[in-house]
Amino acid sequence: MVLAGALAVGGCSDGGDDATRGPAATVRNEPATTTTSVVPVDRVPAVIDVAYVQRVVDALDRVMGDAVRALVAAKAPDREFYERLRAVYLDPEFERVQASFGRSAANELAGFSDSPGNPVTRIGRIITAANDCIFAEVDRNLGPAYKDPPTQEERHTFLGLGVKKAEHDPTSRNPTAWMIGFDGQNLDGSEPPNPCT
Amino acid sequence: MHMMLAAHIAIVAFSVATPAVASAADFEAAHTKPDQIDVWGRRNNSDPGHVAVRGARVAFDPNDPRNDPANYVLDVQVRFDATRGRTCLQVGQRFVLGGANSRAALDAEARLLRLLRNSPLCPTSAPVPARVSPGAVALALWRERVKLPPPAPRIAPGWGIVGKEAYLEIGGERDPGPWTFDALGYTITIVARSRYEVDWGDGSRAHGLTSQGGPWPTGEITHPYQVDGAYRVTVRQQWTATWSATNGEQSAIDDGLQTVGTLEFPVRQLQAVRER
Repeated sequence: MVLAGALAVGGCSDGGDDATRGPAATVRNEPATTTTSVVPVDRVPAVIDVAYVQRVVDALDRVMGDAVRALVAAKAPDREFYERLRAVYLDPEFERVQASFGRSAANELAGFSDSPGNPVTRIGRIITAANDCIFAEVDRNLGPAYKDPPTQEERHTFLGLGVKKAEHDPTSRNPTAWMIGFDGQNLDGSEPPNPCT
Repeated sequence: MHMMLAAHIAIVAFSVATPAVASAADFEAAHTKPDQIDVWGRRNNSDPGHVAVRGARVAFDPNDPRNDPANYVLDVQVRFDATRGRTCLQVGQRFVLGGANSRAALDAEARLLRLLRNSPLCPTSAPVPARVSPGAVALALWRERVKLPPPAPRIAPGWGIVGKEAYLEIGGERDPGPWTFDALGYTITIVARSRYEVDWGDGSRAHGLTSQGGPWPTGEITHPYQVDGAYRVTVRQQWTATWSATNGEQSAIDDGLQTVGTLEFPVRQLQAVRER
C-alpha cells in the first residue's frame, strides 16, 4: 500500500489561512529527559516530541491491524473493517486507502497474510509539529499484513497527522486525538510537499 | 471494451459570471475546433434574478494519453456500504498506459462479472459498462463454467519392477468440449487443449506431453524405476483454450488452468533364486 506520488493533503488543514491555524507547538526531536508525566494519546501536548508521536502512531497501527484482521477474517470489507479505517484516515486519504483495500478485496485479498499483524511505524524525524498538524519522516512497515515483506524503499515514507474528526469515529475505535491525513512518498522517495504548510 | 472516456480537459475560458450558482438543466456541446469544445447550459427556471445562460470553452488535447480510451481499464473495488450495512462494488476507471487491450483489462471485466452475482453496485459507483467485451465474457466462462476433467493415471498391472519400464496410461479426456454458452448477449464457443506433465515420484519429471501413453509394449510414456519403494505418480493436465464468438471475434484465453490426478505405485525388486 505504498503511495506513489505526492497527494493533496486532506486532514491536516481545513484550508484555513495561517491566521486561523493554531499556534505551532514546540518540536523536540530528541526524547525529553526532564519529562515527568506522559501525555496520553488522546490529548495534544504543548510540546510535541518524538516519543509522543510514536505513541500516537503505535495506537493508530493497532487500529489498522485490527481493521486488516477484520478484513481478512470476513474475506471482504465489513463494518468492523470500515469503522476502523474510517476512524484512522482523514479525507481524502481515506478514499485512497479504501480504494486500495477495495481492489485487493476484489482480487480475493491475494498477497495478504492469513494472520495479519499490525503495521510497525518508527518515527525518524518530525518535520513539522503544530497543535493541529504533524508531518514526519518515518519507517513504516506494512509487511506484517502481507505475505511478502516490503522493500526498504517502500518502508521509507512520510506521515501527515491531522486533528481527529469525531464524526468519523462514532464508535471510538481510534483512541488518539489524531488521524492520518497523508501517508506516502514521492515516486523517487523524496520528501513530498509538507501538508502542514 | 466499452467504457466512457474520462476526459482530462482543461478549462481555458469561462464566460458569464454572477451569481456562480450553476443548476443548468440543459446542455449543448459543440466541437468548434478539433481541440476545442464549447459547452452551453441554460437554466430551466424562470427566476429573473439569476443568470440564464452560461458557457464554458474547454481545450481537448488529443495527444494527452489521458484522453485516449485505450489507456483505461475497469477499476473494480469491493467496499462496505455503511448506510446499507452490506458490501458493494465500486466501479470506475483506472489509467493504465496501453491497458485497454491488456490481460489486466480482461481480468477486471471478468472479475466484475463474477462479483456482480453477489454484490450490488455502491451508490457512488459508476454504472457497469453497457456491454463487456466478449473476451472478458469468455474468460469468466472459462474460469467458472467450463468443467475440465482430471487425468486418471494408471500403470498396469498396478506395480512395477526395478529396472523395467513402467508404462503410464493417462485416462480422462485430453481435448474435451467444445463448449458453447449464451452469456451477456454473446454466443461464445470455447475450445480447450491440454498437455501433460508427469512427476514420477522419484525426482524424474516429463513435460509437454501430448500423448496419453498406453500399455506395454507400445505405450509412449515410460519410466524405469531404479530403486524399489512406494511412489506417488502425479499427472498434471495443463489446459489452454481459445474462444470464438458468433460476431466473428476470436482469441486465445491467456489463463492456464490445471487439473491433477495421482497414482500410488509400488515398485518391487525381483531376485533370482537358484534351486538345487
